[in-house]
Amino acid sequence: MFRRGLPLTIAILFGVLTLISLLFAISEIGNLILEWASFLAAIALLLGAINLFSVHAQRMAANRPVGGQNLYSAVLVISMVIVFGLGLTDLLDITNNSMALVFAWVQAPLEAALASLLAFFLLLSGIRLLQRQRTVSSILFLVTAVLILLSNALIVSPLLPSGVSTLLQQLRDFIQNIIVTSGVRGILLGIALGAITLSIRLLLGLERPYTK
Amino acid sequence: MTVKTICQECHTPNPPGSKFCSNCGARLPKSTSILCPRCQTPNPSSNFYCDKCGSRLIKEEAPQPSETPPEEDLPTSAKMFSLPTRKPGDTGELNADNVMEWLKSGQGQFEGSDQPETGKLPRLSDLTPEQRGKTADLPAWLLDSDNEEFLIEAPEDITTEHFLNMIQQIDDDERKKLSGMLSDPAITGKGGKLPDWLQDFVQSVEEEKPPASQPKAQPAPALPDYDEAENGNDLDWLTDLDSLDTDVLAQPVDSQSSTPGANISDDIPDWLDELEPPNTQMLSRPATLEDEVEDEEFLPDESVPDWLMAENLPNTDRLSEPRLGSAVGEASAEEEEYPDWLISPPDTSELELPAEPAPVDRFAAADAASQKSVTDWLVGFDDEDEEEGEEEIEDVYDLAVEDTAVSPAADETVHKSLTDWLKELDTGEPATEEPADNSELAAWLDAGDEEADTDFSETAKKETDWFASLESPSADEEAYEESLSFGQTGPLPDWLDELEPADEAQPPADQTFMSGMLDDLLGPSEPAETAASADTAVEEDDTFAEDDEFSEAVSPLNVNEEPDWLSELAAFDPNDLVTQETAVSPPPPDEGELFAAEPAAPEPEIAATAVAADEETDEEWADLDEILTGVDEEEEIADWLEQLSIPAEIPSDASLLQENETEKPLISTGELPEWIASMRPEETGQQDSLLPSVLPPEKEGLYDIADSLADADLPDWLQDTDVVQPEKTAVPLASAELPGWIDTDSEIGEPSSELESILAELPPALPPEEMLLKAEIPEWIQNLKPTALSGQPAANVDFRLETTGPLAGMPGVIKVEPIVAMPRSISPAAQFTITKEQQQQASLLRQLVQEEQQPLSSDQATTTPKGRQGLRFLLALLLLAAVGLALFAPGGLTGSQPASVPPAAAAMNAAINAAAGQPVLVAFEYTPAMAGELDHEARLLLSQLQDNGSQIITTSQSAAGTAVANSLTQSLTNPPIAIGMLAGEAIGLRQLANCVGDSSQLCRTLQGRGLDSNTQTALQNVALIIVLTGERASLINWVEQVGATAHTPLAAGVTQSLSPVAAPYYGSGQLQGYLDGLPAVVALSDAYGSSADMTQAKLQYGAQSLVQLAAALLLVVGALVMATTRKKPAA
Repeated sequence: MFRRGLPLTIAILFGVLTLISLLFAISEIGNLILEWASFLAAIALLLGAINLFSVHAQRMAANRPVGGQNLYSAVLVISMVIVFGLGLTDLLDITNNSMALVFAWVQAPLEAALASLLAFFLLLSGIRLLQRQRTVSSILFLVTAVLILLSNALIVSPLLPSGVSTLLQQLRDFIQNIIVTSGVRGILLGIALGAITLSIRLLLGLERPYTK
Repeated sequence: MTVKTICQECHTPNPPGSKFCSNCGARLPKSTSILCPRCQTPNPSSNFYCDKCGSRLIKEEAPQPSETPPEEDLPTSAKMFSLPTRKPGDTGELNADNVMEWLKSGQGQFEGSDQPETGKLPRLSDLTPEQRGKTADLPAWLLDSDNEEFLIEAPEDITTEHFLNMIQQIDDDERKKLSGMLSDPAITGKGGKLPDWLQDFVQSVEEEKPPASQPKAQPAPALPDYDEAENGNDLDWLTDLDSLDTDVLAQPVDSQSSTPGANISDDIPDWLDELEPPNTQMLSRPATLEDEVEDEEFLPDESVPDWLMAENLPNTDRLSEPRLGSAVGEASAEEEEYPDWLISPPDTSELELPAEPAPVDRFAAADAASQKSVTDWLVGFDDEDEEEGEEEIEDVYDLAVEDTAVSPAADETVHKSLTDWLKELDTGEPATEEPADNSELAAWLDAGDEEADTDFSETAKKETDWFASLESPSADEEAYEESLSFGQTGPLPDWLDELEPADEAQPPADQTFMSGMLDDLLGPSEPAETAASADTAVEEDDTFAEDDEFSEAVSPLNVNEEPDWLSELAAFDPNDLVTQETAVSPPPPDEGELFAAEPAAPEPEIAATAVAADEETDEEWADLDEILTGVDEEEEIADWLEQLSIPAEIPSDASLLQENETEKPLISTGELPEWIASMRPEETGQQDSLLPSVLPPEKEGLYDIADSLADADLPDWLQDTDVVQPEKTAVPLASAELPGWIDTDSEIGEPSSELESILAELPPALPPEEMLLKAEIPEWIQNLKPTALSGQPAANVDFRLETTGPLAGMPGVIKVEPIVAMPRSISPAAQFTITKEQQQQASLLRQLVQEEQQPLSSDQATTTPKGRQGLRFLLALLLLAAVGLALFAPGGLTGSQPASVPPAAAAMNAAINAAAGQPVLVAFEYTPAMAGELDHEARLLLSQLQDNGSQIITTSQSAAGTAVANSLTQSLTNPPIAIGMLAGEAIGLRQLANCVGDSSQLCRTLQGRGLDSNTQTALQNVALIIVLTGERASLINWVEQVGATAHTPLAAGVTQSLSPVAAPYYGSGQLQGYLDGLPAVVALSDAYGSSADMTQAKLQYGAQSLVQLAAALLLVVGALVMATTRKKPAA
């Protein structure tokens, strides 16, 4: 009872207080709750980082053959230690903007390389689509993709006649402004409604994601 | 089915293996999961077998699999079984200390025995108290095996064991004697054979192989000497008749007393000891009754021997045989259940007993029916063959006064034997009837065996002589003794003198029966022709001649006044009894049969009784005379008394009549042996039966005997012969072979004699085949039959000694069936119905799991087909070409000017211009992965804001964003205000929204960070918020959390892929404008110009266009190619 009732009570209480502060513009209560939440979020971030470090450190220390999971864990642990150290040195003014260099020379190229692979994977899946699934939706998908790509590529291209370019631009605007926008708007509405439902369930204690 | 783990706190079922409850979060006990040693599947602790593979679970504390013995050492069957196996011979945790030594070794180390008797279980009496262990629950008679006292009181449940025990309580000498006796052809007679149960005993004795289950044989009492030369056989027990102590026999029977008399207790066999001593009061009853006769009741119920009581006799089919005629007489209504001849003593006072009536005459005049009836119960004393003996025994328990039909061959020999001496009494000639089927035992008692050895004739002669000597009241004791001795007969008692001879027309079967009875009592008699000779002191009673006479209760002395039973006796014709083979009524207890059951036992008993008889005084005979004289006409004399009367005329064709020329008088009462005298009915209520105590002690009516004994369990020595309590089924008279002297013409209900009436009440006898219900004894039970009884060598019994295990040394140990000894092998198939396909799938899954754990080597890596590899290469080449072309050919496809500026970009430009000179909050919510597209937008916007003179405030909700912001704002001349990272996503933005805007208050702190006044002021005066993001959630949060509360214009710089998400917010007015990728940036920069260098952006835009064009072309071509190509099925 204690383990199940207390978290539920706290969740409902603070949810209601936040709702009241927003409805009745009582910023002090809301700000206080938000500060406590920010503090808990920071603590959770710190705990997460510590847990990540400990897990991978145990894996690295486990008796496993090299080349397995313990190598990746070692890289992660070492990277964490290095970046943390550089941050300390920057704080202590030992180094200057070293963390920015790590970001610019390591993180950014790696993320860019991963993102660039996405284009190849999407293009290849598009090419195999009709081989795996020959349906109307797959054909429509391919047609749309080709139009968008061509319009984006040839709108400003002098290779196409102006009329074709204009047509392609109108077609692209129609697809994006009407079809895509309506679809996305519907998705956004659904997301909003889901968020409202979840909030109500949390306030009523029907949803307890904080309990296992 | 998997058993879920139940939480102890909230009782919520949880999946197996859970450590915490899914409902309350309580920690589940560690024992909730038990790892299967075979498949490592966690199972609930309550499981005994794994839910997955079915193997027996081992606790978590069980040793690791590596600690278990190697699988190679275990047998094949044990490999599949998870429990530890036990090697053969290993007793495991059996505590050997608790096992008795004799059980361990299998050798009975008995006290006093030098060598262990292997293969034999120790007897309880041989064990020490410590070895016995707990004996509190054992009966005393079982523990105290040294008790020499004989049990005289018959147990309620008569079992074979009881009699076998009595048989076994004899020493070897007696057994040998008995075996010799039983084996003597003179005894058994030609064509006869002993019952199986007796033959087994004989055989066992001959083989000198006492049964294993026999207890210590009780020392048999010493037998009195007898004249072997005279007898010519080994019937020792008959010689004891000479030394019978009549006083002992006269003593009232005490059920608790072990012996009828102390003097003869040692000499009398056990079974005889159990017999209640005869009550001489019965013999003296006539004297007493003469004074006390108030009613017609001759004998009180309690005084009549039970075995004479028809009620007490077992109700067998034989008992249901139609009465053979002469009932004692008219029975009163009250004594209807009792035979008249027992209830109403003959009126001896009016009897004109002949002074010395010829025994032959007596019996010659006896009624045939009465003769038959008399002999019926006496038939039981004669030994027969096995089948007949059973019937006779049944007859014994029933008064033979009922007119029931008996099987023709049942009592034939008995009749013959009985009539022999009766004939002897009558004519003095031995009966010469040949018995039909005689057992070996019965033969020697069968006086009617023509082909019997001459010894029989001699003995019969002697018997008849004895009986004939009973005629004369003044018969000397010597003659009486001789008569009592084996083969000799003495003078008839007075009561026998009064018996009228049987009628000539009467069948001789009764004589055979009578002679047989006496043979049983006295010893093996001569064949019927000798036993029933006229020399016997059988009084011929005219009443035996005709049933009418008998029914009139004519006394043997006075035709008009004699009681019926005597009249029947008078009409009794031993010769008729001998010749006619008719069914007889169930005779009284067959002493001979019972004697045969315990061959050694009767000898001393009979000897004792013989001794007792010797000492019988004339007074008893005189009393009998008085009884007989005092019997009124209405009084009925017992049939057996009637039948004992010497027939007046012994038919010449009586084969059972012994050749005895001399006519010996009837034996007087005083000369009558005690044991015979005890057979007389009495009124004292004491049981005079000399039979083993197989009868209930209570003396009831004649019919009670039959009923009670009918319900009693047959003794074991009868069980072997498949004696079954026959049902009372009437057998028509016509179906039964009645003896000739039985008056079948008489109507039922009007018996001519008491015997007939009694017999009539008895249920008709069925043929033996119908009476005896063959039980289907299983083979294994038959094999358990003792060899002493079965007579078959236990060849098929495995008496090999067990060599191993706790039963080592014991013989006949049944081997354990392999299916029982085999450990249970639990397999999944035993619990679940698994199809072959499922097994294949399971094996495949197992193989896959095992393969998954092993990293694939490069050799094992699957190789893609060459076609696909070429396609991939071509695609990569095209994309690279597009990018390189764009890089090396700037403005290749883009041409000169981009397209028109999108409206959203134009609106954003307007919003930025509107916020000129005011703080603008810029949020960098993108990662380096999207930096290639958003960095150009950021530079454009920052340059434009700087140009407008706006104070730039930077922030981010990700750590990478702050770094990006720092890198982009370094080139600005006016350094921006960095708030830092806003944690908590929506919560952080909410806090920021409180500090931003005109309505907001000055935020001195923001998420715990202190803000300076400039920052506070700047945040409060923010005119535009620009969000640079490539993620939908971040854009939504900014729009919903900040845009809706801060009341501050919001603009966004998104990627081209996120433009559909930003367009609705722009359309709803929540976004003032937005930039959607490089096309908009290039267009905006070209339209409004920017101080930032946008060359790189343009090149990148050109390259992007080519790539998109190439991608579009590849999609079209590839789709067309793939659409025309069918996919290969998976291997």
